[in-house]
Amino acid sequence: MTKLKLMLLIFITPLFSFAGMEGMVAVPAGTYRPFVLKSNSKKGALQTFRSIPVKLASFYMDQKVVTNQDFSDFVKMHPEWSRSEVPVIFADEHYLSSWKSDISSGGTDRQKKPVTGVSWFAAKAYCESLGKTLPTTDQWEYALEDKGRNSPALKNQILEWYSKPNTRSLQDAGSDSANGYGLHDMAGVIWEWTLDFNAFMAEDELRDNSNTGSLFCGGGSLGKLSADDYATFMRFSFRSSLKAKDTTMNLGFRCAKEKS
Amino acid sequence: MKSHLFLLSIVAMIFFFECRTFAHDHHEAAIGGEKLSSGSLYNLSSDWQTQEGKTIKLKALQGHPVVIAMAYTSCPSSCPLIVNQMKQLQSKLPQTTGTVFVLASFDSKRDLPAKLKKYAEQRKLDEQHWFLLHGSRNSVQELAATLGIRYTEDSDGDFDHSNLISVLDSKGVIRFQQAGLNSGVKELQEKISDLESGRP
Repeated sequence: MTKLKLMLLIFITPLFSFAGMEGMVAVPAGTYRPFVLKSNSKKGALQTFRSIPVKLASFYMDQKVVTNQDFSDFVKMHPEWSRSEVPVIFADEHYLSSWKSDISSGGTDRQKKPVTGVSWFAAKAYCESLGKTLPTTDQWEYALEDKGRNSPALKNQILEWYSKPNTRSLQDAGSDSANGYGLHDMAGVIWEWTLDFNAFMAEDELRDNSNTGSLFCGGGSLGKLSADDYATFMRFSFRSSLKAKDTTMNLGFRCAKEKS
Repeated sequence: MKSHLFLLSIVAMIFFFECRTFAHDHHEAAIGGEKLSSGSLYNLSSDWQTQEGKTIKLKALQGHPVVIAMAYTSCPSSCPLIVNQMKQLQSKLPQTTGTVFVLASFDSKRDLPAKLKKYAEQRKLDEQHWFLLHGSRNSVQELAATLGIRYTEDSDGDFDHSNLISVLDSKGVIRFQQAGLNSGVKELQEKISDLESGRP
């Protein structure tokens, strides 16, 4: 190609890097019906429903979940987020417990795997350090919905994943086929933090308080959940059971970015 | 000339790639030489404005027990009850108490310092003991997450939220929490007197 084209290429490609866009896709604007989980003390039941459609503006989202390598780079630059330095108010005692050292997960085969064992505070700090944010629950669920493109197969995949005990080791981030938006790892890999995971749910007495206990109490209307919405219910219930400093071995994250 | 431009563009490219580094941010790790407790709320380093329009970090509250809750001035029902509970608690403490009462607003948009000051005056929340705080959405999110308070903003700009009163010790560590609006103030009072007298 001509020198001019080459120079243009050299200038324009790094501008994407400078804006922090590499590894992200633009999810187009659209409407979406948020899933709502509420307890109705009058009826004594758990209520689930899809609320009125909301409009979501277009936004950028990481194509893959954040990996051990990514998070290791972050911790090296920000040792206050290493497991020996992080305040216990920001991450529990299992934070990065599977890592070999403060700054590395260890093992070259582990570098590309999704980082897990991270709290909401740590995930948020990682995203903010890159000028990004955690996706909102609406953004994440909308991205998963994929305009209903792969609906039955997707729902089966998710339900199958939830029904298996997690004994196998995690696959590399991005190793599945992308959905219609170009997003990987949306189903069957890990649970993901969202910015507003702790949105209000009508009553706190919905779950028992033991740490290993069940995620939710049953309720009369739960039986009326379709298989479609059961998977969604699982995610909402899981997210709302979390506290911001919690870490689990199956909980990781990806970042998003508003379109200015 | 062309080759100079080419070299320049290579340099620019390298420069741009290097700019993709993690932005530095620093957590407040020490107050005047003394390291913050690992469990302290004061590890949250964002800025807040008080009802007097003063900018503070939460660590400014250290040195006394703190009673902290979250509410907002336009809240129709539950928030007045939280405030009343805190006032009731204050009335049971000795005049000489060093305990401070903190109300952080969910409502970053509307609860600016002037509004908070008016609210404090209407409810007779004395400025020696009460801090009403306005913060950014991010600060509010982090504080709620740390305290374990759930909230959602609805389409009208009002907030659905859980009700929780927390007691912090002089180092900012959460020592006691009371959920809901129906439990009275006896346990809270006992916890505060324990902290004030240095009992574990």
